[in-house]
Amino acid sequence: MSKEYSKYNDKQLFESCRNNHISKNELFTELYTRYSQRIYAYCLRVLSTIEDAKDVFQESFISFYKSDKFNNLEFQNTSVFGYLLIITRNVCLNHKRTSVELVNIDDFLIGFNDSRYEEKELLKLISMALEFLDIQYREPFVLRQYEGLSYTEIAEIIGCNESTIRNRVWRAKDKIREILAPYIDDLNKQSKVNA
Amino acid sequence: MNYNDLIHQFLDGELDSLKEDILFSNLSNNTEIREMFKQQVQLHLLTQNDMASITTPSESTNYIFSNLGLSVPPAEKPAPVAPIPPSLFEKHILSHYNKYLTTALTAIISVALTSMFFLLYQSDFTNSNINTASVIKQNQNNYNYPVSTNFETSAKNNDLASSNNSNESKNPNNDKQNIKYIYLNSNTQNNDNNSQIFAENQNQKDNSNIIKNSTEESFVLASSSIPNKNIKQNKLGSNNVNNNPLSIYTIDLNSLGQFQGNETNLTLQWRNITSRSGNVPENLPSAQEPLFINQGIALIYKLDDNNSFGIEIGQEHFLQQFVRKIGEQDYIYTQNPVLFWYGGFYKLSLPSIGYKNIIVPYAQVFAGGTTAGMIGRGQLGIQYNYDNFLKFYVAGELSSLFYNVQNKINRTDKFGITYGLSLSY
Repeated sequence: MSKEYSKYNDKQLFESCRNNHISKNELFTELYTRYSQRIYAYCLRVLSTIEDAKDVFQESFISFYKSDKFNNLEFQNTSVFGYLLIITRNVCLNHKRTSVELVNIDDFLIGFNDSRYEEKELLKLISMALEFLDIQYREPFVLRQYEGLSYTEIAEIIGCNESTIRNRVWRAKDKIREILAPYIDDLNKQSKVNA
Repeated sequence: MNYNDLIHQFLDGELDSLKEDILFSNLSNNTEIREMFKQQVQLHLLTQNDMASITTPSESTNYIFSNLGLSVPPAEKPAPVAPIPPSLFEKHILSHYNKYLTTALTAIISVALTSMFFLLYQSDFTNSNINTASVIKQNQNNYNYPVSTNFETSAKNNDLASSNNSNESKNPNNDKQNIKYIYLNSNTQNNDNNSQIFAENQNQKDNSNIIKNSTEESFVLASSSIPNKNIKQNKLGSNNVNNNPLSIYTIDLNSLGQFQGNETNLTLQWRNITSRSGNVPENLPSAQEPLFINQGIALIYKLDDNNSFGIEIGQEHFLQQFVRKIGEQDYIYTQNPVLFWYGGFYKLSLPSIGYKNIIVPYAQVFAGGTTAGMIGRGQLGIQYNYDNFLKFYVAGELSSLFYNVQNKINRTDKFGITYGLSLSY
């Protein structure tokens, strides 16, 4: 089905649904196919554990399906992905309020003790390094670097002004770069040796 | 100045050119800033790779869809991920790509149009509707080049031209309107090389007699403007030639039908490509639709009647279908990008099995590159030679694009028809 609808944008899909050419279930399935990976990536990198990420991810899509906005097909002037992110973010914040976030520093150090760092391992380290960031820096960093959103879009989702968001993203990048600098250098050296 | 923020601005694509210059001059001088820059770029790439490695857990998909009472969608392809920004080198190339392409196309079109202008201007001398020519004037010491006049002009005009020089020859039959022959002064010992005739006969002092004694209206033409094939040696009586040891060539204007330029070796070719891939959906939309698409421009050098070489550039849709492994799961990707391609080709023409050198079969092989990978093509077709200047082509074409995805070479084949035309110089 995704192949069938892939050539239509979100707006056209909703238009088709309004004209009864496709059902709401088909519409939801197509939107899930389009955005589930990005939403899950957001959950995974903003939250601490995979289990938390899965819980929030599942709850977010179910909330989206049950939302009045989806059921009334009110997406003429709204980005579906933006709306999904707002739902996910609210679920995330609720989840964080009810759970205590613990970072196991030992796990982190064990991961960093190995002297040879393949890129795969470095990817794991990034997710671990993200956990050191405060949520107000981590979230805009994830939205910018992972989701590819503009500063304006991030500012709209988070509800801050653009310059604040820009500053937070840059500081987050600086912080993560500082944490990962030795390992990035190591990776660069390995790349040169392999070349 | 905070160079760290300049790096961030640069990576965000928001740095103006002045600050960019400042940043890059510091990057070249300051090791610390350079290291910082490299780390930021590396971090940028790592986050993109991290994003690509994240997959939606199937148990979560099952949970959501079963909870909502929907059937679980097949895991055919992943949801689109945020576009991976190009590397700095790619960014640099891409930023100049459109500019270079536009410049190259403008240059090619300008050269073609300029050449056509001069070619057509020259062709006026050989066309049946000739209306201008150069009249060679002589005086006692040397040849005077040229005074323009009109072949089908009135006596008045000829007189006007003649009056410009008192030593100029007078044509006794200038009231005739239709000219059948034009006589060209030439040295008998250099019949075949009439472009050098005048220079070699500068000691001839009374060539104007040729014109004076001619029984038909005649003009002396600048020989270099007349193709050899349109010149016939005319053995007129000795009366016409006087004592001048020059042979006389006759140009039969009636024999000049359509334009016949000199055979040339350099050809500019344009073609349209209508080939398509057989194994992927044909109606897949492309992310970009540039103006110059499914077309190619080639420059061909002809070695001889059979062998030619050339270079060609163009842009074309290439539907791609490949498997990409993300995490533990394989995903089938289908995309339809527009690729810029370039390369060289060899063309084998077989006029011996064609029809009177007008319809010529040919085969062509092409090898080159694209922004995605290597490309190879084969063509079998026919060429219609309208004349030496203009040719038309139609051919069957098979193209193969080879591209690398996760260290696996994939191939897309396209087949179809290509057609076009070429202009020779």
